[in-house]
Amino acid sequence: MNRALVLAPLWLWLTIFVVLPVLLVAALSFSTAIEAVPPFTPLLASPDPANYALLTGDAYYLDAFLKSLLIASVSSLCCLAIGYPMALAIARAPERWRSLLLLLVMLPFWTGFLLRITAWIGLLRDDGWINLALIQFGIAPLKLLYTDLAMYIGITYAYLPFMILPLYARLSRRDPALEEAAADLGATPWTIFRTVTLPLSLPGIVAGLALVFIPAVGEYVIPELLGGPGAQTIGRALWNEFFANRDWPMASAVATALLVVLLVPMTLLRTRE
Amino acid sequence: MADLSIQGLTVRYGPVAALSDLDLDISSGELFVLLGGSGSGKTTLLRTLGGFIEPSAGRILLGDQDITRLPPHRRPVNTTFQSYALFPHMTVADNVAFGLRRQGVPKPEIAQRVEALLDLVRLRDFAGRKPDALSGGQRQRVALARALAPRPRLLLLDEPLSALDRSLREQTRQELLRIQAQTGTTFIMVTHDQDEALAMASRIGLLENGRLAQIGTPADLYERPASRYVAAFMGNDNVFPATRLAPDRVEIDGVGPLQTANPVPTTPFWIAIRPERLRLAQADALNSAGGTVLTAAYFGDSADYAVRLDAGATLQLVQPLSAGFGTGLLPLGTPVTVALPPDALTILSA
Repeated sequence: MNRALVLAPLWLWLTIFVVLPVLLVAALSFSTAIEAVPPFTPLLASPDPANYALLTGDAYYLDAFLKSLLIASVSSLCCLAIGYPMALAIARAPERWRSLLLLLVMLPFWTGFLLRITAWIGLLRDDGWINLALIQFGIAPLKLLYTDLAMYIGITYAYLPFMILPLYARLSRRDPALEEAAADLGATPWTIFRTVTLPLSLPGIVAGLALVFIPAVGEYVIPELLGGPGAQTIGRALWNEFFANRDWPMASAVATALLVVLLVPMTLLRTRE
Repeated sequence: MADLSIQGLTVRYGPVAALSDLDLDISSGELFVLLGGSGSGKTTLLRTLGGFIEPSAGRILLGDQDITRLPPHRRPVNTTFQSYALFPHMTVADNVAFGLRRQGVPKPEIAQRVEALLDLVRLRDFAGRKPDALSGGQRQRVALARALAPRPRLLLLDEPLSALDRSLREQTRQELLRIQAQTGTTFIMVTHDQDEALAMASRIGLLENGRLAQIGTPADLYERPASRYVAAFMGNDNVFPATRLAPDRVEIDGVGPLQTANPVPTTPFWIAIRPERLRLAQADALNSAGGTVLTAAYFGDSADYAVRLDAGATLQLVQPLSAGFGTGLLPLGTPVTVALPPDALTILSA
């Protein structure tokens, strides 16, 4: 009874702000766009799977999905490659330094997300700081902004803390005696990392990859601001349906499909635990 | 012949010396016990031998090889850690095989040797289990098998029995002795428990503030402590300042004049008397003192008494409770005579 009372606000919150909106979007995805206010046929009046037929039939959406999955995969791996050494270094730093270093990792959150991404435009522009520096070294200015590279830099930069935090949480709890035991038994520093540190941090790696991958799949702002026109992601497709085409039902179908696609890795994660 | 030779070993943490100018030779096949309280430097010494602490000065020779500056993974020395430090993501067999894989031992031989080691520690049926699924005693034996696998010249054991409960400790102690005898490996074991040291050691090194207070056989430390600190650490509370009366006669404060078996020095000295060497006597004997029973504790096969002497001192004594000594516990306040045999008086110069 008490337990139910304590959990009631949580369930209320989840129902109002998660379950109902998702059901609403799902219902909307089965209606049809019309020129009216609101711009769709009444919900569940005549459910029509036409939007899903288009979604699976039109290569435009499939390509967008694949492109988004590719971008999210590459970005999560970049975050892992950069974040793992950082998390390990923080976990191995003297105790009095650790909280300061973690604070530095989270410091960018103190400024607006859009502001930080816009700052990258200034860095990556044809006459931006990076190209100015390259010219100093006698390298011709490179086309950076509005390319896939710029988009990957932006996503990796924005999501890196989400990789570092779970990795650090895992690595900071590792038992230094295990690494000593491995050294004692003849393992070189690299072998210790390969056979002890890395396998024991696997749950942290999985959590970090999920925390980066899942939001990165639906990312809209960074591909839009930094990526080229070729970076036609599912986030941008959704935006176009909703705002450019005013096809709310189609946008809802895209959103629902995205949710289903993301449920797969999340369920896998849960069963792993 | 000394297999391990520690020469002038010093470890400093800032201004504090954890080990000061330590010299120690240990022979091949010994079970050497490093005994000491917390902060005595025993763990520092063990970790320095393992290569985890770099000494500030001194040398460590293993045979003719100077291993002072070798990193842990290049020393023919293995350790069993106090927490066991078993790899939780590997099976028992993989834990034991870890060191062999690092040495590049061929696979069929690894399988063979792992099996032999698991037989040695009686864990053959547990090869496929993860450490989490083992009891404390079993983990201890896996740690031992894992450390013995690379056939180290020297095995370091950090408080191997401290995490086990009492009954298991006794059993594991005997296992350790059996395995040591069977493999012939030199063992250096750290403990804070003097009973453990007495029961297991071929020799004991008692550490006090980073220096060796005494090195000797268990009987040496027990019967012939080199100092008041050693006597107290080995569980002897009967230590008193004394003055010289004659070459074979002393006056102990609060006890009285006594005959000694050994010559008395002319420099200041102390007298230590083991509680079990004292006897309750009926009549006045040579070297006796009168008093009353202050406290009494019954242990079945023996009784512990504290006797307040008429002259002022309090003596701890242990009486066997068996044929010839009576079986009952004396009531508090009973007047008794304590016999102090001359050869029970140990003279301590410091």
